[in-house]
Amino acid sequence: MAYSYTLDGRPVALDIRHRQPALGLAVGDAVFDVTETPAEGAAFDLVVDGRVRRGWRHIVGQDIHVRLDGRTYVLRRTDLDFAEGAGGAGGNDIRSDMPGTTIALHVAVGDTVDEGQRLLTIESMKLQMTISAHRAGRIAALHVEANATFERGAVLVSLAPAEGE
Amino acid sequence: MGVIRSAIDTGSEEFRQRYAFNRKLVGSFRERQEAARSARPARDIDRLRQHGKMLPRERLEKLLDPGTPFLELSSLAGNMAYGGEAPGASCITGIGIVSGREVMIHADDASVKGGAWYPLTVKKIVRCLEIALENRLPVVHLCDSAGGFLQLQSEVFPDKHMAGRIFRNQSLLSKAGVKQLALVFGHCTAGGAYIPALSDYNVIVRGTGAVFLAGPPLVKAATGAIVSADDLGGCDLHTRTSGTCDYPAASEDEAIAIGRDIVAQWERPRKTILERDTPEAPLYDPDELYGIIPDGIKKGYDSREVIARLVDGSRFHEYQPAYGTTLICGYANLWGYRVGILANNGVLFNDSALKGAHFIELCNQNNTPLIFLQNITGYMVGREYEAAGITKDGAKMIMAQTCSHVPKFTVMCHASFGAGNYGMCGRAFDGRFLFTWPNHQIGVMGGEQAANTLLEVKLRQLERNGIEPSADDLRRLREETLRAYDDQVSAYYSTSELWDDGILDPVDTRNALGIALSASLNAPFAQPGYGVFRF
Amino acid sequence: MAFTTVLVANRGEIACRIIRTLKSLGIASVAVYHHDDRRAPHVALADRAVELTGAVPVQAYLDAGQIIAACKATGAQALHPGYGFLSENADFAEAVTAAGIAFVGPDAAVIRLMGDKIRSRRFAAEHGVPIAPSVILGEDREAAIAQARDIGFPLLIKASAGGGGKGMKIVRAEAELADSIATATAEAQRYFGDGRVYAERLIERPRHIEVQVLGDGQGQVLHLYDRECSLQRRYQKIVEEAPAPGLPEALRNEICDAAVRLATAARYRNAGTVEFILTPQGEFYFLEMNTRLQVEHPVTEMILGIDLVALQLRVAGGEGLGMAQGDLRPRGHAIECRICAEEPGRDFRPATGRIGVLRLPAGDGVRFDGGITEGQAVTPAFDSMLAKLVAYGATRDEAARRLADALDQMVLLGVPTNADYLGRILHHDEFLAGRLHTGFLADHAAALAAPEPDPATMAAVVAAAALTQTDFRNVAYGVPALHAAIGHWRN
Repeated sequence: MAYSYTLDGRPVALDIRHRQPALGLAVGDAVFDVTETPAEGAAFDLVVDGRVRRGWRHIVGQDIHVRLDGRTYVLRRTDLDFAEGAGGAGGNDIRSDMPGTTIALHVAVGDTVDEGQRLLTIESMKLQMTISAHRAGRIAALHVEANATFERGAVLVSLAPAEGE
Repeated sequence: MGVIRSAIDTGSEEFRQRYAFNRKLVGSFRERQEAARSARPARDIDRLRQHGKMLPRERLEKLLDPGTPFLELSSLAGNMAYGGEAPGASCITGIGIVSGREVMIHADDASVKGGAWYPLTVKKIVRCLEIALENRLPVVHLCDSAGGFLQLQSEVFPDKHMAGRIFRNQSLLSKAGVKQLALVFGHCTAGGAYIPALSDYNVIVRGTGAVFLAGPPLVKAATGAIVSADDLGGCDLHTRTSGTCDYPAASEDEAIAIGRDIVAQWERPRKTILERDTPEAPLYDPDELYGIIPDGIKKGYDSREVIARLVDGSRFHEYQPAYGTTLICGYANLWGYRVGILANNGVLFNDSALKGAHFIELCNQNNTPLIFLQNITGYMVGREYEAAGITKDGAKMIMAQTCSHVPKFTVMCHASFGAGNYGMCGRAFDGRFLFTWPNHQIGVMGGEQAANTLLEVKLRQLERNGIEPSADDLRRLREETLRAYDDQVSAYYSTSELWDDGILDPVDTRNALGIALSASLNAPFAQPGYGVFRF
Repeated sequence: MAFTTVLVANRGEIACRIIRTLKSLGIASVAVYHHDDRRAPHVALADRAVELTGAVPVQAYLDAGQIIAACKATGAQALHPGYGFLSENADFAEAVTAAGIAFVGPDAAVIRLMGDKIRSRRFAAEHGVPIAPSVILGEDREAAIAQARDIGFPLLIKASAGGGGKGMKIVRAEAELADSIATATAEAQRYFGDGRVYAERLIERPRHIEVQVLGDGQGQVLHLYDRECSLQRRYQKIVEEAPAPGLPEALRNEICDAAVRLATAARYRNAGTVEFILTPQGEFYFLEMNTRLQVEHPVTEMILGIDLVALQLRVAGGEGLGMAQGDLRPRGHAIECRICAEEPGRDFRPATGRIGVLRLPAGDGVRFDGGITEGQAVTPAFDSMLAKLVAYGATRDEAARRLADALDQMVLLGVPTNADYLGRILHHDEFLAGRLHTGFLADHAAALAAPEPDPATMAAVVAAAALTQTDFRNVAYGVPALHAAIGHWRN
């Protein structure tokens, strides 16, 4: 099956079986002919196996809310969910791409940080930049102090190994 | 356009006999094709699985749009070479739909000797890129190869149309504005590294994908350094440091999803406009083809009956129906597109050669693509015909056919012997696609004729040396010659050597030609112009 | 005296509802709001609005000082506290009154009395309002057994210092009494360090019946009939109706009279609700009195054809009740359901989000009291109730059908709500038969869970969702015609 969703948390598979004379969609094991009729705004108007189905839909982030026949469903596309860089993306050490100076430290050894959390502010080439955590974890070591200068490629912060490593 | 009136009696003895013969032949073809596609030693499949890799056909099915056709080319390439070690010549090529766009796909088959490139593998890849160039088809490479098959390097590396031609074709594709995407699932070593490098976009799978001009063994031999494939040329090195690869992917599924999204960004090509009517299935059942195709190379059939089971509504507008009757010429629709069809009903005579040349010119004048349905044993021989200029007339047909600016497609339906092959757009004449049927045979002359000729030559040789062979000797000699010849004229040999773009089950011909025709319209028609016709 | 300007010290649906009445009476309305609520409907609806500050939004609406200052700044002569927030805060009521502003509600002393469970129970008992039998058990074992026996069976032995079900024993017959008291005492000592226990009548399958009252503060009190609020989940009312179904007239009158008796004894001023529990045997006991307007007041309004907020303003303005008990004749039936931002399928976990699509139901007898608009954010800052949907019918069946239809019609997308769950309640046989009690929703939880959609509906839903996605549409419709015609094919 080409596409997968969860519908109210339960997995559903979707596939395209044929396109003529109508779009033939396989939902789970059964195939249905689906044609769209133009509708205004959040409303939708479909004909599914000859039966008119009119309702409403609205997108919230990754979720698609659909209301049909007095019931609201929440769907989410799952076939494009991919695990984060399986062990790649730098490991535990966070290095600097260029020489510079540490302006401020925003965390301490032992702190637990979230992915994307601000760790340090550095300055290089007259520009201040934020060094963020590339993954969630615990700060194992800070290798620079405020106002310390460092070379390109220097390790600035080390995270403790992630669970399961 | 009138409907072809079929004279076939599906209840006749001849029909039933031919039907049984061809069903068996096609059954056997399908078995051999299936084996070439999927029969692999368990250990080779296990190795792939252990590395978290998918089989190439699994990758293909995920890459292609659901509910769309895939026309595989040369599925039996290499089937009679290398002792059968390289089914499909260890790669898969074909035309499919990705994110709504027609693309040419080339996928290394790592379940065959690690995807190593045999000489025929290179030939198959070069051919697929040549098709892409001629038809302006974007290409998606699914790379996963152990590299060139060293033992046969002299047939893989040095010559004009060997491995280098792949990279030459890639460069010219890019120059022509035709896009290429490479998905690196495994190793791309030495020359193979140029495939992603010369692709406009590439994606690399972390952990299994690697691109390097020299792999770890070569590096160790050259410098003594020991380095892993991943360190030497893996995902992170090439997507972060060297910039050789564009998109990192954590898994094969992700690489395919990224690839599909890349293709979705490509502008849709402006295709050559060909008039198109509403497509219509043939009136006669294509299944009847099995009962029409002869069960012996010397037996014949009326080409119109084949045409009736290929074209829309079985409708055919025949040109010069009373003249040159050994060559059927006329217009028909195939999947809605107007095409010009030339089909043999016997040997070519002066008049049929002239008719063919003239009809080809008409099709060029009308921007009508040409389809050649070959069943030809040659031009008529004899003094009378030579005196009437049959050589000149054959030359004129070849000139018209070669200089055509419309796309040409050839299906070798039965016999393809001698000079008739030329006039009817054989391999050398740059048809966009060339397909064959399992019953087809190809050679400079028919098997028995060749055997007799060779036997004649041998006998004269023996005579000169004063030896007179016995009747038994004669028989044995004849059988040996025939057998060797039969192997080499078979459809399986021809397709193994990539003299064609694949054997088709006759009932698949309509779809294959439709897809081929649609693909050809991605390129503009050339400028019209002919050389000198010897009148 | 007629007020010309009234400040509404609340937000959401009740603020909107109060402002609507103010408008209908030609009284200028003042809204207060926290910065996070600046685009809320009640702010736009009011004639004037004053921003309140608070570190968290709730704090703003609890800030008596700022609110009273807002009254002064806008010249509001009266303040309506709505429900929740400061509505039952006696100090606030005092401060408002002291500032010379009329507090639309009872006086502080009564708020204090009724806010104290122990005092109010005693007050009720003193004035002939039945209270559920309960007694603190003494140390002496024999005396304790006698005390407990007097309560009547079944009864509950509970730890005075405890909760969470620990140290609690259900006793159905006298034979078990001695052991249960001993065990409960020991557990109470072990878990809470305090072995004191009390006994209380256990009411199984009770109904929650309440009576709306309105007093003039001079000793005149009217009752505005009863409401049934038995459908509760974790002590939160979900569906309410008026009148309580299947109540014998005599019993109804008894309960309403008891409520009037209590309110009269307290010289109650303005609107209030006396809550009772009703046993299957037909005994009723006082629970508590709420000295404010209740969430479910619309059902009373609909069966009596009155505007309670207007009546509240009359009384607050010193104009008296303006009617006699005999003027109030209930007709038909009204049912209300509370639409909350929560996920019934995930144990009713509160939900947040932004209201993307809102289409309100309309129809005969349908009333929608909401404080929401399209584009509004629903945050954890406030209560999860978004709106009330109420339907009136000549019969209970008609009201239930109209309400179910209105829920069907209503479209609220962007935040998960319990709307579908409410619809399932209204279709449930037991609900339609009027067999209600406070354990209804728990008892019928399985039947009220969302059923699997049928395959055709599921297909339509998935298709509707997939067709919003560009890559899917591209693949569905963007394949060249010839290939689309051939479909899936391999040579």
